[in-house]
Amino acid sequence: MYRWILIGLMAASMAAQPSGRGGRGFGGGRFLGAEAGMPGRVVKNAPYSAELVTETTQTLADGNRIHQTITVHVYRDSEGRTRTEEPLSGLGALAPNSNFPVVVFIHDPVAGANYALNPRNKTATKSAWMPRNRGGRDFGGRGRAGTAKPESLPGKTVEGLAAEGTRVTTVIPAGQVGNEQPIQTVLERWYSPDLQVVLLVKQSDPRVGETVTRLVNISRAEPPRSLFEVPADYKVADAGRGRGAER
Amino acid sequence: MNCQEFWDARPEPDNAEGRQHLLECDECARRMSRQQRLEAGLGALRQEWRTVEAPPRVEQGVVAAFRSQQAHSRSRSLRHAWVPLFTWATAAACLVALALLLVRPHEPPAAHHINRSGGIELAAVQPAASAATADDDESSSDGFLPLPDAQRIAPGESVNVVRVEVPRSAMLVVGLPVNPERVSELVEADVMLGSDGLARAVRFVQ
Repeated sequence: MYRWILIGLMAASMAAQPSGRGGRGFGGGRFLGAEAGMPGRVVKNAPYSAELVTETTQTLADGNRIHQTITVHVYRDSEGRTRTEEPLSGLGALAPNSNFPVVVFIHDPVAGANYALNPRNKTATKSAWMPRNRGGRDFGGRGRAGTAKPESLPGKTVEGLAAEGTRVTTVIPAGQVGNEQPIQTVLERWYSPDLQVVLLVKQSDPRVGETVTRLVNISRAEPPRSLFEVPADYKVADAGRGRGAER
Repeated sequence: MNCQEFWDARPEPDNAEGRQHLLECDECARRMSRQQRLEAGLGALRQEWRTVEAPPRVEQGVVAAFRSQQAHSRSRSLRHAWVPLFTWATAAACLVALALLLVRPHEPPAAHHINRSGGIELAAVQPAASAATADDDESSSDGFLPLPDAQRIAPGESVNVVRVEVPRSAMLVVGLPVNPERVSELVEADVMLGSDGLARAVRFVQ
């Protein structure tokens, strides 16, 4: 008798749980918020808008292939403000089957502020501009193994722009990571001195597959000023303050 | 020797009587041939995988999970004595939870991370501040762990952070131990994104 009462209570409490928590799919994750972090190098007088398309292709041992594409919309105005619209599908391995929103990041060196916008619920998180670090950050543990050989490539036109190319070939000798044969990875990068942006990156690693990131549909017209502003109907909160800065 | 006697004598049928039976019985000869091919294949596979080892992080994760399982089974017998009390305590807790759910308006469980305007508190997340100093570390002072196969954040590249709730199984991606019984629970994580929108590193908040 008591057991049935207990089961009934538990079922009732489960039924009372809120449903539809932010659009989480089966087995997936849920978006909680965002904060614009370290800005890129500030480039003035070279406005553009484009799509940054990253394609990853992995061929499995049985011949099966995994192919994924991520498209990020990028904008930069003459004052060096930038806006990126990121679909968050690059979180795949961490939260498959998730329905994350597109998040917009604005870095504004003129106003000295960064914003992360969530268009789904019209909220924004404001963070202070922070000085850039000089160095990069190596998150590729695999990339450190082996001997790298950099070389310059003859210039060519990429997406209608003159580009300078570099290639870094890294060879991991046999036995260094338990490999029977040497492993060769190649990183090719094409940079536009005019637009001061990387146009094309090709990475090849037999352990991971191939990744190609290219800037396409480039327009050199000045993007609308409104793209670098928080829309008036958004609620803005200061990052890390614990209190909102509603406007 | 009949078929039953032949197979009962396995794995040592290699005598004159056994060999004679294989010559006389096609069915047993075929079955014997299949078994020998399978043994040879398994032997080759064993030889091929002799040097294959799990990454240290995965091994640590498995050991930690195994230890937590052992601790769990040790405490199981102790828990049995508390079953009646536990049942009543659970019933009381369910009553309280039910009352709270019915009285209070629904809000997301992670509301303590969301301030009044819907923004999140990522005060501790300062990827820029520590990025340059953590070049050679697998993990950095801000707690971010590199994702497998993540690319280097290039000089001049912007970095952003999103906070998401992901299945606890996501911790396995960076080799952290996960209790098998809690693998489907959700955990909060900060994910560092490069300018291409790809995740580079993750930090688990809870």
